Amino acid sequence: MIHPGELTLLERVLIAERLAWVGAATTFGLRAVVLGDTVLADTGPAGARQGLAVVNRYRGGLARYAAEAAQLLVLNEDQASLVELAPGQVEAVPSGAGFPVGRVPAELLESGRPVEALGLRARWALAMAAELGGAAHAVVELTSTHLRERVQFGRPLAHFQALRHRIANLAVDAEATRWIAREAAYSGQERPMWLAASYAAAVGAALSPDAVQLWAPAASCTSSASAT
Amino acid sequence: MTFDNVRVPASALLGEENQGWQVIKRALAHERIGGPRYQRALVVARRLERIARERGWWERDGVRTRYVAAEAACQAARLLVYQAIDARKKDLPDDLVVSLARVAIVRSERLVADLAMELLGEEMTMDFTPTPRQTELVAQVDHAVDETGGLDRARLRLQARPRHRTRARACRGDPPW
Repeated sequence: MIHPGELTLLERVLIAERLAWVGAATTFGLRAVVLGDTVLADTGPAGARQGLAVVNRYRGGLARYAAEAAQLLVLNEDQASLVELAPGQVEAVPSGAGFPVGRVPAELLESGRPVEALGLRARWALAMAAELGGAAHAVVELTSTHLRERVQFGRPLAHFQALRHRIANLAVDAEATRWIAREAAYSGQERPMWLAASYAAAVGAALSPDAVQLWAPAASCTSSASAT
Repeated sequence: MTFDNVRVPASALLGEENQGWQVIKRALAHERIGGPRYQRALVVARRLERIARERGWWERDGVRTRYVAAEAACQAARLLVYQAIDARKKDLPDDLVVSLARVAIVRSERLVADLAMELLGEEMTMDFTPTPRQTELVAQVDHAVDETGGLDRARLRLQARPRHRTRARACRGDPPW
Protein backbone atom coordinates (compact mmCIF):
# COMPACT_ATOMS: atom_id res chain seq x y z
CA MET A 1 0.00 0.00 0.00
CA ILE A 2 1.29 3.45 -0.88
CA HIS A 3 1.48 5.75 2.09
CA PRO A 4 1.39 9.31 0.79
CA GLY A 5 3.21 10.51 3.88
CA GLU A 6 6.35 8.84 2.54
CA LEU A 7 6.15 10.55 -0.83
CA THR A 8 7.26 13.98 -1.97
CA LEU A 9 4.64 16.54 -2.97
CA LEU A 10 5.61 16.05 -6.61
CA GLU A 11 5.06 12.31 -6.35
CA ARG A 12 1.69 12.89 -4.73
CA VAL A 13 0.74 15.28 -7.51
CA LEU A 14 1.72 12.68 -10.08
CA ILE A 15 -0.60 10.21 -8.35
CA ALA A 16 -3.49 12.68 -8.42
CA GLU A 17 -2.80 13.45 -12.07
CA ARG A 18 -2.64 9.80 -13.03
CA LEU A 19 -5.83 8.89 -11.20
CA ALA A 20 -7.66 11.68 -13.01
CA TRP A 21 -6.13 10.58 -16.29
CA VAL A 22 -7.52 7.05 -15.98
CA GLY A 23 -10.85 8.43 -14.75
CA ALA A 24 -10.74 6.87 -11.28
CA ALA A 25 -13.64 8.11 -9.15
CA THR A 26 -11.61 8.52 -6.01
CA THR A 27 -10.41 11.27 -3.74
CA PHE A 28 -7.16 9.46 -3.02
CA GLY A 29 -5.18 11.93 -5.12
CA LEU A 30 -6.87 14.90 -3.50
CA ARG A 31 -6.21 13.49 -0.04
CA ALA A 32 -2.60 12.72 -0.90
CA VAL A 33 -1.86 16.22 -2.16
CA VAL A 34 -3.87 18.24 0.35
CA LEU A 35 -3.33 16.33 3.57
CA GLY A 36 -0.26 14.34 2.66
CA ASP A 37 1.70 13.42 5.72
CA THR A 38 -0.17 15.60 8.18
CA VAL A 39 -3.42 13.77 8.80
CA LEU A 40 -3.42 10.69 6.64
CA ALA A 41 -1.93 8.55 9.37
CA ASP A 42 -5.14 9.10 11.34
CA THR A 43 -7.43 7.65 8.71
CA GLY A 44 -7.58 4.20 10.19
CA PRO A 45 -6.90 0.73 8.80
CA ALA A 46 -6.75 -0.05 5.12
CA GLY A 47 -10.20 -0.57 3.67
CA ALA A 48 -11.83 1.99 5.91
CA ARG A 49 -13.70 4.85 4.25
CA GLN A 50 -11.04 7.34 3.32
CA GLY A 51 -12.85 9.72 1.00
CA LEU A 52 -12.11 13.38 1.51
CA ALA A 53 -14.21 16.38 0.61
CA VAL A 54 -12.92 19.94 0.82
CA VAL A 55 -15.05 23.01 1.19
CA ASN A 56 -14.57 26.73 1.76
CA ARG A 57 -15.99 27.85 5.07
CA TYR A 58 -17.39 31.06 3.63
CA ARG A 59 -18.93 29.36 0.65
CA GLY A 60 -20.19 26.01 1.96
CA GLY A 61 -22.83 24.32 -0.14
CA LEU A 62 -21.85 21.81 -2.80
CA ALA A 63 -18.65 19.80 -2.56
CA ARG A 64 -17.25 16.94 -4.61
CA TYR A 65 -17.62 13.49 -3.01
CA ALA A 66 -19.07 15.06 0.15
CA ALA A 67 -21.92 12.53 0.40
CA GLU A 68 -19.52 9.58 0.25
CA ALA A 69 -16.51 11.00 2.05
CA ALA A 70 -15.36 9.92 5.47
CA GLN A 71 -13.93 13.33 6.23
CA LEU A 72 -14.70 16.91 5.37
CA LEU A 73 -11.93 19.48 5.37
CA VAL A 74 -13.25 22.99 6.03
CA LEU A 75 -10.92 25.83 5.02
CA ASN A 76 -11.46 29.21 6.60
CA GLU A 77 -8.86 31.90 5.85
CA ASP A 78 -5.84 30.83 7.92
CA GLN A 79 -7.72 28.19 9.89
CA ALA A 80 -8.87 24.71 8.98
CA SER A 81 -10.86 21.95 10.60
CA LEU A 82 -11.43 18.31 9.81
CA VAL A 83 -14.93 16.92 10.28
CA GLU A 84 -15.54 13.17 10.64
CA LEU A 85 -18.58 12.33 8.52
CA ALA A 86 -21.13 9.64 9.28
CA PRO A 87 -22.91 7.90 6.38
CA GLY A 88 -25.94 9.92 5.31
CA GLN A 89 -24.82 13.04 7.09
CA VAL A 90 -24.35 14.88 3.77
CA GLU A 91 -27.10 14.80 1.20
CA ALA A 92 -26.16 13.58 -2.27
CA VAL A 93 -27.39 15.75 -5.13
CA PRO A 94 -27.71 14.77 -8.79
CA SER A 95 -24.48 15.45 -10.66
CA GLY A 96 -23.72 15.49 -14.34
CA ALA A 97 -20.12 16.49 -13.73
CA GLY A 98 -18.61 13.00 -13.80
CA PHE A 99 -18.16 12.79 -10.06
CA PRO A 100 -20.62 12.68 -7.13
CA VAL A 101 -21.56 15.88 -5.39
CA GLY A 102 -22.98 16.45 -1.91
CA ARG A 103 -24.61 19.42 -0.26
CA VAL A 104 -22.80 20.25 2.98
CA PRO A 105 -25.17 21.51 5.70
CA ALA A 106 -24.14 24.76 7.36
CA GLU A 107 -23.83 23.26 10.85
CA LEU A 108 -21.07 20.92 9.67
CA LEU A 109 -18.93 23.93 8.73
CA GLU A 110 -18.73 24.91 12.39
CA SER A 111 -17.74 21.50 13.72
CA GLY A 112 -14.62 19.33 13.51
CA ARG A 113 -11.22 19.45 15.08
CA PRO A 114 -8.66 22.09 14.14
CA VAL A 115 -5.80 21.01 11.90
CA GLU A 116 -2.68 22.80 10.75
CA ALA A 117 -3.90 25.13 8.01
CA LEU A 118 -0.57 26.28 6.66
CA GLY A 119 -0.44 25.63 2.92
CA LEU A 120 -3.66 23.60 2.84
CA ARG A 121 -5.52 25.99 0.59
CA ALA A 122 -2.68 26.23 -1.92
CA ARG A 123 -2.29 22.45 -1.97
CA TRP A 124 -6.03 22.11 -2.56
CA ALA A 125 -5.64 24.39 -5.56
CA LEU A 126 -2.62 22.37 -6.68
CA ALA A 127 -4.53 19.10 -6.35
CA MET A 128 -7.26 20.46 -8.60
CA ALA A 129 -4.67 21.63 -11.11
CA ALA A 130 -3.12 18.15 -11.14
CA GLU A 131 -6.50 16.51 -11.58
CA LEU A 132 -7.46 18.90 -14.35
CA GLY A 133 -4.13 18.21 -16.05
CA GLY A 134 -4.74 14.46 -15.93
CA ALA A 135 -8.33 14.79 -17.08
CA ALA A 136 -7.34 17.16 -19.88
CA HIS A 137 -4.70 14.70 -21.04
CA ALA A 138 -7.33 11.95 -21.19
CA VAL A 139 -9.66 14.22 -23.14
CA VAL A 140 -6.95 14.92 -25.72
CA GLU A 141 -6.10 11.24 -26.07
CA LEU A 142 -9.71 10.16 -26.51
CA THR A 143 -10.56 13.04 -28.82
CA SER A 144 -7.49 12.47 -30.99
CA THR A 145 -8.48 8.84 -31.43
CA HIS A 146 -12.02 9.87 -32.30
CA LEU A 147 -10.80 12.36 -34.90
CA ARG A 148 -8.59 9.76 -36.51
CA GLU A 149 -11.27 7.06 -36.58
CA ARG A 150 -14.44 8.99 -37.36
CA VAL A 151 -14.92 9.32 -41.12
CA GLN A 152 -16.99 12.13 -42.59
CA PHE A 153 -17.13 13.40 -46.18
CA GLY A 154 -15.00 10.45 -47.21
CA ARG A 155 -12.05 11.01 -44.89
CA PRO A 156 -11.21 10.96 -41.20
CA LEU A 157 -12.12 14.07 -39.24
CA ALA A 158 -8.45 14.49 -38.40
CA HIS A 159 -7.81 15.46 -42.04
CA PHE A 160 -9.78 18.69 -41.62
CA GLN A 161 -7.48 21.52 -40.73
CA ALA A 162 -10.05 23.42 -38.66
CA LEU A 163 -10.37 20.44 -36.34
CA ARG A 164 -6.62 19.91 -36.25
CA HIS A 165 -6.16 23.46 -35.01
CA ARG A 166 -8.64 22.89 -32.23
CA ILE A 167 -7.16 19.61 -31.08
CA ALA A 168 -3.70 21.18 -31.22
CA ASN A 169 -4.87 23.92 -28.87
CA LEU A 170 -6.34 21.33 -26.53
CA ALA A 171 -3.06 19.42 -26.58
CA VAL A 172 -1.14 22.57 -25.62
CA ASP A 173 -3.62 23.16 -22.79
CA ALA A 174 -3.36 19.65 -21.44
CA GLU A 175 0.41 19.33 -21.64
CA ALA A 176 1.03 22.76 -20.17
CA THR A 177 -1.40 22.16 -17.31
CA ARG A 178 0.33 18.95 -16.33
CA TRP A 179 3.79 20.49 -16.36
CA ILE A 180 2.89 23.73 -14.65
CA ALA A 181 1.31 21.73 -11.81
CA ARG A 182 4.30 19.41 -11.62
CA GLU A 183 6.74 22.28 -11.43
CA ALA A 184 4.65 23.97 -8.73
CA ALA A 185 4.70 20.75 -6.72
CA TYR A 186 8.44 20.43 -7.16
CA SER A 187 8.99 24.00 -5.99
CA GLY A 188 6.78 23.50 -2.95
CA GLN A 189 5.99 27.23 -3.00
CA GLU A 190 2.48 28.58 -2.82
CA ARG A 191 2.65 31.18 -5.57
CA PRO A 192 3.44 28.67 -8.34
CA MET A 193 0.64 26.49 -6.97
CA TRP A 194 -1.85 29.31 -7.33
CA LEU A 195 -0.50 30.10 -10.77
CA ALA A 196 -0.94 26.47 -11.78
CA ALA A 197 -4.47 26.46 -10.40
CA SER A 198 -5.31 29.61 -12.31
CA TYR A 199 -3.98 28.17 -15.54
CA ALA A 200 -5.77 24.86 -14.98
CA ALA A 201 -9.07 26.55 -14.19
CA ALA A 202 -8.93 28.53 -17.43
CA VAL A 203 -8.05 25.36 -19.33
CA GLY A 204 -10.89 23.45 -17.70
CA ALA A 205 -13.40 26.12 -18.65
CA ALA A 206 -12.21 26.28 -22.25
CA LEU A 207 -11.58 22.60 -22.81
CA SER A 208 -15.04 21.17 -22.19
CA PRO A 209 -16.97 23.08 -24.85
CA ASP A 210 -14.21 22.51 -27.39
CA ALA A 211 -14.08 18.80 -26.68
CA VAL A 212 -17.86 18.46 -26.86
CA GLN A 213 -17.91 20.15 -30.25
CA LEU A 214 -15.10 17.98 -31.56
CA TRP A 215 -16.97 14.88 -30.52
CA ALA A 216 -20.40 15.78 -31.79
CA PRO A 217 -20.83 19.13 -33.44
CA ALA A 218 -24.02 18.13 -35.19
CA ALA A 219 -25.62 16.75 -32.04
CA SER A 220 -24.57 19.83 -30.13
CA CYS A 221 -26.14 22.15 -32.67
CA THR A 222 -29.36 20.12 -32.71
CA SER A 223 -29.74 20.14 -28.94
CA SER A 224 -29.03 23.88 -28.80
CA ALA A 225 -31.61 24.54 -31.46
CA SER A 226 -34.23 22.42 -29.75
CA ALA A 227 -33.51 24.07 -26.41
CA THR A 228 -34.28 27.45 -27.86
CA MET B 1 17.13 29.06 -51.94
CA THR B 2 18.93 27.00 -54.56
CA PHE B 3 22.52 26.79 -55.76
CA ASP B 4 23.69 25.94 -59.25
CA ASN B 5 27.08 24.57 -60.27
CA VAL B 6 28.38 24.37 -56.74
CA ARG B 7 30.83 21.63 -55.87
CA VAL B 8 30.64 20.44 -52.29
CA PRO B 9 33.26 18.05 -50.89
CA ALA B 10 31.88 14.77 -49.63
CA SER B 11 33.37 15.50 -46.24
CA ALA B 12 30.95 18.46 -45.90
CA LEU B 13 27.84 16.33 -46.50
CA LEU B 14 25.36 16.27 -43.66
CA GLY B 15 23.55 12.94 -43.43
CA GLU B 16 22.82 10.89 -46.51
CA GLU B 17 22.68 12.10 -50.08
CA ASN B 18 19.19 13.28 -51.16
CA GLN B 19 18.09 13.47 -47.54
CA GLY B 20 18.63 17.20 -47.30
CA TRP B 21 15.03 18.03 -46.53
CA GLN B 22 15.05 15.69 -43.57
CA VAL B 23 18.19 17.38 -42.30
CA ILE B 24 16.68 20.82 -42.77
CA LYS B 25 13.48 19.84 -41.01
CA ARG B 26 15.39 18.59 -38.02
CA ALA B 27 17.72 21.57 -37.97
CA LEU B 28 14.85 24.04 -38.23
CA ALA B 29 12.63 22.35 -35.68
CA HIS B 30 14.36 24.03 -32.82
CA GLU B 31 14.74 27.29 -34.69
CA ARG B 32 11.00 27.69 -34.09
CA ILE B 33 11.52 27.75 -30.35
CA GLY B 34 15.12 28.90 -30.31
CA GLY B 35 14.50 32.41 -29.00
CA PRO B 36 13.18 32.50 -25.43
CA ARG B 37 10.35 34.79 -26.46
CA TYR B 38 8.23 33.65 -23.53
CA GLN B 39 10.84 35.17 -21.24
CA ARG B 40 10.74 38.48 -23.04
CA ALA B 41 6.94 38.39 -22.80
CA LEU B 42 7.25 37.71 -19.08
CA VAL B 43 9.56 40.68 -18.63
CA VAL B 44 7.01 42.87 -20.40
CA ALA B 45 4.19 41.44 -18.29
CA ARG B 46 6.07 42.23 -15.09
CA ARG B 47 6.72 45.73 -16.31
CA LEU B 48 2.99 46.09 -16.94
CA GLU B 49 2.34 44.86 -13.42
CA ARG B 50 4.59 47.60 -12.04
CA ILE B 51 2.81 50.21 -14.15
CA ALA B 52 -0.58 48.97 -12.97
CA ARG B 53 0.54 49.15 -9.35
CA GLU B 54 2.08 52.60 -9.77
CA ARG B 55 -1.08 53.97 -11.33
CA GLY B 56 -3.42 52.37 -8.84
CA TRP B 57 -5.01 49.98 -11.34
CA TRP B 58 -3.80 46.74 -9.78
CA GLU B 59 -6.75 46.17 -7.48
CA ARG B 60 -9.31 46.96 -10.11
CA ASP B 61 -11.55 44.25 -11.38
CA GLY B 62 -9.93 42.13 -14.04
CA VAL B 63 -6.41 43.54 -14.00
CA ARG B 64 -4.89 40.89 -11.77
CA THR B 65 -6.83 38.15 -13.53
CA ARG B 66 -5.45 39.26 -16.88
CA TYR B 67 -1.95 39.53 -15.51
CA VAL B 68 -2.05 36.08 -13.92
CA ALA B 69 -3.34 34.55 -17.14
CA ALA B 70 -0.48 36.21 -19.04
CA GLU B 71 2.19 35.13 -16.57
CA ALA B 72 0.82 31.58 -16.40
CA ALA B 73 0.90 31.39 -20.19
CA CYS B 74 4.56 32.50 -20.19
CA GLN B 75 5.47 29.88 -17.60
CA ALA B 76 3.55 27.24 -19.54
CA ALA B 77 5.44 28.12 -22.70
CA ARG B 78 8.75 27.92 -20.85
CA LEU B 79 7.94 24.44 -19.54
CA LEU B 80 6.91 23.19 -22.97
CA VAL B 81 10.13 24.55 -24.48
CA TYR B 82 12.04 22.68 -21.78
CA GLN B 83 10.13 19.58 -22.83
CA ALA B 84 11.22 20.03 -26.41
CA ILE B 85 14.85 20.59 -25.46
CA ASP B 86 14.76 17.57 -23.17
CA ALA B 87 13.35 15.40 -25.95
CA ARG B 88 16.11 16.53 -28.30
CA LYS B 89 18.76 15.92 -25.70
CA LYS B 90 17.50 12.39 -25.15
CA ASP B 91 17.18 11.81 -28.90
CA LEU B 92 13.44 11.25 -28.59
CA PRO B 93 10.92 12.23 -31.28
CA ASP B 94 10.35 15.95 -30.74
CA ASP B 95 8.09 17.09 -33.60
CA LEU B 96 5.01 17.14 -31.40
CA VAL B 97 6.55 18.79 -28.36
CA VAL B 98 8.20 21.45 -30.52
CA SER B 99 4.86 22.27 -32.11
CA LEU B 100 3.15 22.45 -28.74
CA ALA B 101 5.88 24.74 -27.44
CA ARG B 102 5.61 26.94 -30.49
CA VAL B 103 1.86 27.40 -30.03
CA ALA B 104 2.33 28.09 -26.32
CA ILE B 105 4.95 30.76 -27.05
CA VAL B 106 2.69 32.57 -29.49
CA ARG B 107 -0.18 32.39 -27.03
CA SER B 108 1.89 33.85 -24.22
CA GLU B 109 3.04 36.76 -26.37
CA ARG B 110 -0.49 37.42 -27.50
CA LEU B 111 -1.84 37.49 -23.96
CA VAL B 112 0.87 39.89 -22.84
CA ALA B 113 0.27 42.10 -25.87
CA ASP B 114 -3.47 42.12 -25.15
CA LEU B 115 -2.77 43.05 -21.55
CA ALA B 116 -0.51 45.88 -22.68
CA MET B 117 -3.09 47.21 -25.10
CA GLU B 118 -5.85 47.06 -22.51
CA LEU B 119 -3.75 48.72 -19.83
CA LEU B 120 -2.01 51.36 -21.88
CA GLY B 121 -4.38 51.89 -24.77
CA GLU B 122 -3.29 54.83 -26.86
CA GLU B 123 0.02 55.04 -25.06
CA MET B 124 0.98 51.96 -27.03
CA THR B 125 0.47 53.64 -30.37
CA MET B 126 3.51 54.76 -32.24
CA ASP B 127 3.83 58.26 -33.52
CA PHE B 128 4.99 58.01 -37.12
CA THR B 129 4.93 61.72 -37.80
CA PRO B 130 8.54 62.70 -38.53
CA THR B 131 10.03 65.60 -36.68
CA PRO B 132 11.37 68.55 -38.77
CA ARG B 133 14.90 67.25 -38.23
CA GLN B 134 13.96 63.80 -39.53
CA THR B 135 12.26 65.31 -42.55
CA GLU B 136 15.40 67.31 -43.29
CA LEU B 137 17.60 64.22 -43.02
CA VAL B 138 15.43 62.27 -45.44
CA ALA B 139 15.48 65.18 -47.89
CA GLN B 140 19.28 65.28 -47.75
CA VAL B 141 19.49 61.58 -48.47
CA ASP B 142 17.08 61.90 -51.38
CA HIS B 143 19.20 64.68 -52.78
CA ALA B 144 22.37 62.62 -52.42
CA VAL B 145 20.75 59.66 -54.13
CA ASP B 146 19.57 61.81 -57.01
CA GLU B 147 23.09 63.12 -57.50
CA THR B 148 24.90 59.78 -57.35
CA GLY B 149 22.27 57.76 -59.16
CA GLY B 150 22.18 54.00 -59.47
CA LEU B 151 21.83 53.48 -55.75
CA ASP B 152 18.97 51.81 -54.01
CA ARG B 153 16.96 54.79 -52.89
CA ALA B 154 14.62 52.84 -50.70
CA ARG B 155 17.48 51.16 -48.89
CA LEU B 156 19.22 54.44 -48.21
CA ARG B 157 16.05 56.02 -46.97
CA LEU B 158 15.57 53.11 -44.64
CA GLN B 159 19.05 53.42 -43.22
CA ALA B 160 18.88 57.16 -42.87
CA ARG B 161 15.49 57.28 -41.22
CA PRO B 162 15.77 57.97 -37.51
CA ARG B 163 14.04 55.54 -35.23
CA HIS B 164 10.44 56.27 -34.46
CA ARG B 165 9.84 57.10 -30.89
CA THR B 166 6.91 56.27 -28.73
CA ARG B 167 5.37 59.52 -27.65
CA ALA B 168 5.01 59.69 -23.92
CA ARG B 169 1.52 60.83 -23.23
CA ALA B 170 0.23 62.25 -20.01
CA CYS B 171 -1.04 59.64 -17.61
CA ARG B 172 -4.80 59.78 -17.63
CA GLY B 173 -5.11 57.92 -14.35
CA ASP B 174 -7.67 55.45 -15.63
CA PRO B 175 -7.34 52.31 -17.69
CA PRO B 176 -9.35 52.40 -20.88
CA TRP B 177 -12.10 50.06 -19.70
